[in-house]
Amino acid sequence: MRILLLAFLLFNSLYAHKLYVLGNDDGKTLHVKSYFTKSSFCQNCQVKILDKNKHVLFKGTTDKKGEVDFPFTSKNVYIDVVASMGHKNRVFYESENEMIGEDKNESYLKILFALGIIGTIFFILKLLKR
Amino acid sequence: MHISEGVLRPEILVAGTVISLAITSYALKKLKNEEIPLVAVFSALFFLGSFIHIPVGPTSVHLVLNGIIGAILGIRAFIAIGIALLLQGLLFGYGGVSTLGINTFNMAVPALLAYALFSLHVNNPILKKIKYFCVGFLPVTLSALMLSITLGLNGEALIPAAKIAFISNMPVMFIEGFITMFAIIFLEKVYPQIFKEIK
Repeated sequence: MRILLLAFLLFNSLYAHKLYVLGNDDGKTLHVKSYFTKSSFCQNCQVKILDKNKHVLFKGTTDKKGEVDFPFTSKNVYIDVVASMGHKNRVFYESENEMIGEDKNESYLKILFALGIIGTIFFILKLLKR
Repeated sequence: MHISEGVLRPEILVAGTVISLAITSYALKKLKNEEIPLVAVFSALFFLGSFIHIPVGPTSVHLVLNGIIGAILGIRAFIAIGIALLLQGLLFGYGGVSTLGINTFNMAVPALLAYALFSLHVNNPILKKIKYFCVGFLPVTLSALMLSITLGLNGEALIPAAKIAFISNMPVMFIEGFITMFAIIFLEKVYPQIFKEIK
């Protein structure tokens, strides 16, 4: 009975310290969530996003809910999470979404808008310098 | 070559902002009414330069054009570059408002080098072309170096990024050298007065 109880406690303890890593994206942002149990989030944990060749793309730290966001730059990445006391986990994340870039027309409009502002600023400057 | 928000230490941001503000204020004071359209045109040119991407191997680089801007505008380049960087930061997220000072400093100080270089008197036609190449090449080199030093000053964590920043800008140095050389030769033929408008 004692052995059973010890085994249960040990198993429970191991289960409680397993670090889960979840990722999802919307084509623009990669959301990472990390937790030990449903009520125990991996807070202030170091998160690294690595490319296929294991080169670090981004680094970040999770918030109180165990969450952190990164720019979505690749469909296939490794998510590396390191918590305190040496708990860590690395998962391979594969997205089904295509990367969503900024709409080209929107960019052209912004460029035109900016050029208009530059013109306006210098026009005002010219009036002030008169 | 834009440093994003949240990367640099506050003391570097403050120092960059104070120095850039001081020089820009001085440039604004010196700016004459008749010079304003030219400064506006070069501000727009600098703004647009960032959107001209040139593929280099697996990546792409964009033009900086601080050499030719500095050669023509001198210290007024601080006004042109500062305004363009502000709009790039606000509208496109290139750089940011807090890094505007240090980014302006890193881009506009090398423009002053271009002005000094361009003012050197050279008679030999080949040396003249080399000078024009250097007017484009050296400011970008100096900007990349200053960018790397700025990143390196933030601690060891950013030293790899500083090295990458310098190496990735090496093709731009040569591209800008040639573009500036051809642009100045062209302007000397079609509109030589442009080099005398700013004194």
